[in-house]
Amino acid sequence: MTLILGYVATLLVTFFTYNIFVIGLNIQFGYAGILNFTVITFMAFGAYFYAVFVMPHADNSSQVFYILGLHWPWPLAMLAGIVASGALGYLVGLIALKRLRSDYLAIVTLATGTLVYGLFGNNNKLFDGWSGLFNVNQPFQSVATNHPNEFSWIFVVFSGVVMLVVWLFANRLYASPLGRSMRAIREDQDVVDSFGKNSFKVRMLAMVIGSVIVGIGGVLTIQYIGALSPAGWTTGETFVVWAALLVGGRANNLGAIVGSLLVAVIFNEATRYIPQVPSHPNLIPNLRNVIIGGLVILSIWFRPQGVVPEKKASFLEVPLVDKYAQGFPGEEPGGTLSPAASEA
Amino acid sequence: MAKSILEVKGIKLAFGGVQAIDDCSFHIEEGTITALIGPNGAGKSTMVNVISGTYRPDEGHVILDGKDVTRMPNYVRAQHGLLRTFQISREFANLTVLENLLVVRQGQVGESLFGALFRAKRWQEQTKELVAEANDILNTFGLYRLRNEYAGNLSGGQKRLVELARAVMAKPRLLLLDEPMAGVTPALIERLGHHIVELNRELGVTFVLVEHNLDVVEKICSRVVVMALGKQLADGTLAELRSNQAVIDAYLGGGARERVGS
Amino acid sequence: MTIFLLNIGFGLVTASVLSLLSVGLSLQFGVTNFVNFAYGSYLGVGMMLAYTFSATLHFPFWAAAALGTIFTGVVSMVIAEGVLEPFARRRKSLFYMLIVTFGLSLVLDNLLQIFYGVDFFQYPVAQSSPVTIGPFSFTNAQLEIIAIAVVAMVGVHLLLSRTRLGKAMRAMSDNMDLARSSGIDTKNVTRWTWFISGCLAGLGGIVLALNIVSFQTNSGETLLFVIFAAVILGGIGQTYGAMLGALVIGMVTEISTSFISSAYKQDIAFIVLVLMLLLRPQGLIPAKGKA
Repeated sequence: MTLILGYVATLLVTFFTYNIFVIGLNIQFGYAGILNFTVITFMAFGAYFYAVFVMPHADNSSQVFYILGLHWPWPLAMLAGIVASGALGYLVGLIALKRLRSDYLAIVTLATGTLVYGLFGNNNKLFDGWSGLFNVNQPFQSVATNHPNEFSWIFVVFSGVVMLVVWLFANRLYASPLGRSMRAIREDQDVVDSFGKNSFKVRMLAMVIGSVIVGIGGVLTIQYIGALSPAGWTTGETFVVWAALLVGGRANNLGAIVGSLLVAVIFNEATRYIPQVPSHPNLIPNLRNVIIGGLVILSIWFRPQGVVPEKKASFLEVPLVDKYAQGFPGEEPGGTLSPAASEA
Repeated sequence: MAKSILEVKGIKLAFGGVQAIDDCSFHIEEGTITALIGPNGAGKSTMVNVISGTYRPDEGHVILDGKDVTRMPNYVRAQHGLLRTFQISREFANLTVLENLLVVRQGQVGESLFGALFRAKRWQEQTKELVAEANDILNTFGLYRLRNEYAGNLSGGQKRLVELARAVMAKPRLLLLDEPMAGVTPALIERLGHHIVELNRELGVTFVLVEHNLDVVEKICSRVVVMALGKQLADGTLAELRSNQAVIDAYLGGGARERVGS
Repeated sequence: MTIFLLNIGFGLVTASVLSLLSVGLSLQFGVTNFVNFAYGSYLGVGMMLAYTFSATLHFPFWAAAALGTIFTGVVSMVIAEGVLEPFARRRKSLFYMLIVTFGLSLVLDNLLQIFYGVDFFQYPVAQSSPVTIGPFSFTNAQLEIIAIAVVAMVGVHLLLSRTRLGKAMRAMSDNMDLARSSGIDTKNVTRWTWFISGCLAGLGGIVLALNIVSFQTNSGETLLFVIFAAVILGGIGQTYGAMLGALVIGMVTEISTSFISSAYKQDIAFIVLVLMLLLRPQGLIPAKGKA
């Protein structure tokens, strides 16, 4: 029973954190059309910076090295991790959001990911290189002392609340005039500019907000597990987030939930317990990645709008008398111009 | 003489060795409807892009309301009331027609992050007002019943009307229309022309049209600027230009006289 | 000083490898007008196929390399015909095309690992001791790499300037609509472009593996953005620009190791990429007629 409860708690935390990642990417891609091909790097930034702010000074005698080690209280360290992730988003945005084709932005994110990965891995002094950080201080330790699952369940509640806040935030943003500007920029950036809006600023906002949210997910991840090494944030992980967003439905946060559930939780968990092939230790993760990559491609082919498509905006309005109730001006009555949506 | 709202002075712009605009100057008076005509490759569309700020000229100045805006990015010019439409309709395809209009109004409370999050009451009210305003405009343009369709699903003619309606929603003072009648049925040309004249008369919007259809030009434009080979060739009323030999020559070939005169 | 000169020599080798890769990417981009994010995986396909042909099937190495090159071209063409072109025909937006190629890269990389595992491989070629030429020092393999690159670049030049296919590719690169309306069989040319681009990627992967001697299936993966850096440096879609870009990036990254740890030489490519994007996104040789 203890084991099952612990497992369920882990599933829920996984679900909540992936939800947060997917919502972050949704704000970047679904709202503003920004292709971020290294979502997971922002996760790592949040997680690592949380860790080095919350952990005490590195104990070099045990051959563990990392920067800072400020031993801040965890809420402050959490903030630091989130700020770090947002700052990385800002930097990438500065380079790539300047009126460039979306290929270039994608290249810059990909290059940033490769670079950060190499830098963090090869450099022992930053975040302990390839071995990564462990024994990272977890929150709620003083309260959760009685039972091994107590921490897990407190954390389920905590991450659930954080997810709820992120979700409410994202939905309000979507409905707001700012969200509408973002979606217009996704459709045609130049036109938005030509109507007097600084589309660069709006895109940057989407980039940074998305990075901050992914960073929050990153902090939660390391808070729950208490450790992170570069092996935990490979390109494949970025794909899980993309697959969840595309399967669930871009530009709809309900889609983010469905996608995280289907891809990040059900698919990932279902494949986790397939026994390993001794001669081929990487077979299962490799197959998983093949399927995830295929899923991304197939979902774009068969259902680009996702399981839960973007909702059509509707407004409270005072009905008017339609001056052209008979039909569209300049066209024959009953002509070709009945609302074309039926064919879509 | 009426005050000029726009002046272009000595504009030069070359693309990879091709001199698209070569020392072109003219001015536009406030409250007029002016046509910008000329043979293909005369640099008309390029000029629209220079005026709106999409291209930066190699030389010369764009002066809006007596203020030099040559170095200003396009969105700042738009904030001063200088708006444009595009040669090919560029609607926000996955936004509804109504949203296409809502999005372009400047100075909404919910456009800043702070406003969007913490002043929701205020922007919700504002959006309600804007929806009413936009519906009115859509009704004028005969698009009311299509307001909740995705703009990408409309027909070509409907998209042209959305472009114009959207521009109206942004409250322009000077509106540049880049071939607004291209690929539009004759009946719709009639309507678009009617709307342009009405907007000019009732809201005092100044128009500059790049247009090939000289019938339209004759009907709605009080003044015509002719461009050829990147230069301003002549300007005046269409009647005056009919007898202008340079203009006739610029349109080349034997049929030219008829085309300008028709 | 000697180390500096030695690094110039290594720069020449790296530039040779990069030139194959950046020209291949650039040709394809010019014709199809979207970046193929799976391109890095084609390197792995080439290097592993050459390994299978030479080490497992005991072909002479030159034949294995040729077969690996051609098969990678075929893989590239099949993927284009089977996956990318259908997506393009459905008029999927640029966004989706990029995501699809990105997805393909994940599939290919992992398929390679499924077939070959995570071991390190080595081609069955004799390792020679370095030959000294003036101030430089090269292994035989490195001299061959330079020779291969030079021959391939001359070949690409002849293709583009002398053959109908090459001229059609250039025309499509400059102006797709014009090319189509002037009667070029754009579908066929696109197909051949994917083949040639794939061949160059495969060959590039093989010479990369020769150069680093010991390689894994994913040894080419991180090179993708270095290739991009070279392509963007030269002006995207500009074939001769890509050659120049490869030379600059190859030289700069290798020479930088005279001053900093070689672990960071890719970062230099990243810095060049960033500077180019910020200061001159159209590249050193901007495309004609593009505003």
